[in-house]
Amino acid sequence: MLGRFGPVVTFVAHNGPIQQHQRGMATLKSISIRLKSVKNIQKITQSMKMVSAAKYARAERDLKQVKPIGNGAKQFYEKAEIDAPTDVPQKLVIAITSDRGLCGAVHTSVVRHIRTELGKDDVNVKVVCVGDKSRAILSRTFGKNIILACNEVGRLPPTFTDASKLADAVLKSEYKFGAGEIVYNKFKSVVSYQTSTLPVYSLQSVAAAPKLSIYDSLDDEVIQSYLEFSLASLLFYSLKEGACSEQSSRMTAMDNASKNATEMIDKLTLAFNRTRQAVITRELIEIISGASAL
Amino acid sequence: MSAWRQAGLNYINYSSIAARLLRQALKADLRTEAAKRNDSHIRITKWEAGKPIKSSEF
Amino acid sequence: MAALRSMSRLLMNRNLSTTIKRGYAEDMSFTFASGNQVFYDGQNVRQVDVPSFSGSFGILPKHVPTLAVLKPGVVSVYENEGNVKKIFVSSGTVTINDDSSVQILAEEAHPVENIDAAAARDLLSKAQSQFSSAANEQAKAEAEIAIEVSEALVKAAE
Repeated sequence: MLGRFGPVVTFVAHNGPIQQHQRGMATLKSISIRLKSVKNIQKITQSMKMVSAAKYARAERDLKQVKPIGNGAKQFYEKAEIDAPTDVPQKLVIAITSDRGLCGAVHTSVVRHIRTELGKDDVNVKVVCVGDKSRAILSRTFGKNIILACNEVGRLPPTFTDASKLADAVLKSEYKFGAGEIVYNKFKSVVSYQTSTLPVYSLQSVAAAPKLSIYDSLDDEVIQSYLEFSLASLLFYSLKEGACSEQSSRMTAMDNASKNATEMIDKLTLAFNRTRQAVITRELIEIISGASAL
Repeated sequence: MSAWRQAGLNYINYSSIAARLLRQALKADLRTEAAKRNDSHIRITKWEAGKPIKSSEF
Repeated sequence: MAALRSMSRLLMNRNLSTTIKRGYAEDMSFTFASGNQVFYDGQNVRQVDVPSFSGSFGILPKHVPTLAVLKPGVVSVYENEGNVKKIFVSSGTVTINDDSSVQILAEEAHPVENIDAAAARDLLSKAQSQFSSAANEQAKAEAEIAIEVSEALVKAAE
């Protein structure tokens, strides 16, 4: 029995280590290359996390200051019970995103909301894209619905002047809409945000609101000026909410990426050490068997 | 109707002018911080038929 | 301005006696926020005087619901403890709802003591020369706004 299998075993014993030896060396090198690249990626994600953590802290502080503006601007719309006019079907949708990615699904969830809206009616709905991300996704399928696109959003915290410029551009775009909405991400906590909408109304729809009569001494110019300023305030508020959600989401995304990288580094280090040990063992076996053969 | 509205301005334009002046009238130590709020980085482009028509500054 | 002030003081006195009589049934939820600072957030105050395009007016609890657009000038807030805060607003909106909540939203607002009188006078003379050199309708309107604002600033800084 042994005699029959003897040569086979020796053949394997002689041949095996050489093949494995070569493969072992190759994996050792490739593992160390991968390990290095994962470590570099982790450095990047970690520093991105640090940067967005600092930006998030500022955005959250800013947001606290702006919350009363957003709530205040909404009050009248809610309390006067304004409805979209039935005779003007034109709608305006303002998408609040930014130019930058790597922040989870903040931008896609805004776009998804708008896409369902456009899926229902793509003739009477026009879109204002704030931020390159929403523009890039929407221009592929609904390019003809875009009337304004904005970029250079998200690098620096938004200012009221930004919101004014945007509101001014919307008003001067000569697009007559009955009602509209601002789609943005409302910040809830570091780990969650909610895609929400804020209403935008035209002068006609406000003038037609049944509860408007309880408001004293209003003329059209006051309402018009009021609505213009409200649009700017609401945009300012939604830009701040969006910026805060984006930074917190990027922070979480980068934190997860860093954690995943740590996991990978651990696994790769283990594999690297195992392989190295195997190589050493094999070399020892070779030396010993070589010595015993003498 | 207000003179500024007749001249083609809206209340947002009015408000920006007023806010800018108020920031400039602050005491010197507050002025630099306030001047940061004059800045705007956003760039707006008009779109028509699925294409940007011109990159105009608003 | 002086007349308005004495008027509002009168109003305030009247209000003082009524608050004592009626207790706290007439609370006013007052919010005053600007692009740079939040001054009040749902607080209860006695009276607020605001400058608007339809004239300056005082807001007491249970004011009839209305909307107004702010004109550059001083908002005076009469707090419950008797303090009067004077805050200069550039522009913005006033909303008075039927539930006695009042919101003032301004683009920029600062306490009057933060205004530099000399800087305000400089702005006024600059605005005046801007007006005389204005080439078109729009530039003229812009200069007019600048004059209006800086006049209010000079007055407030006095």
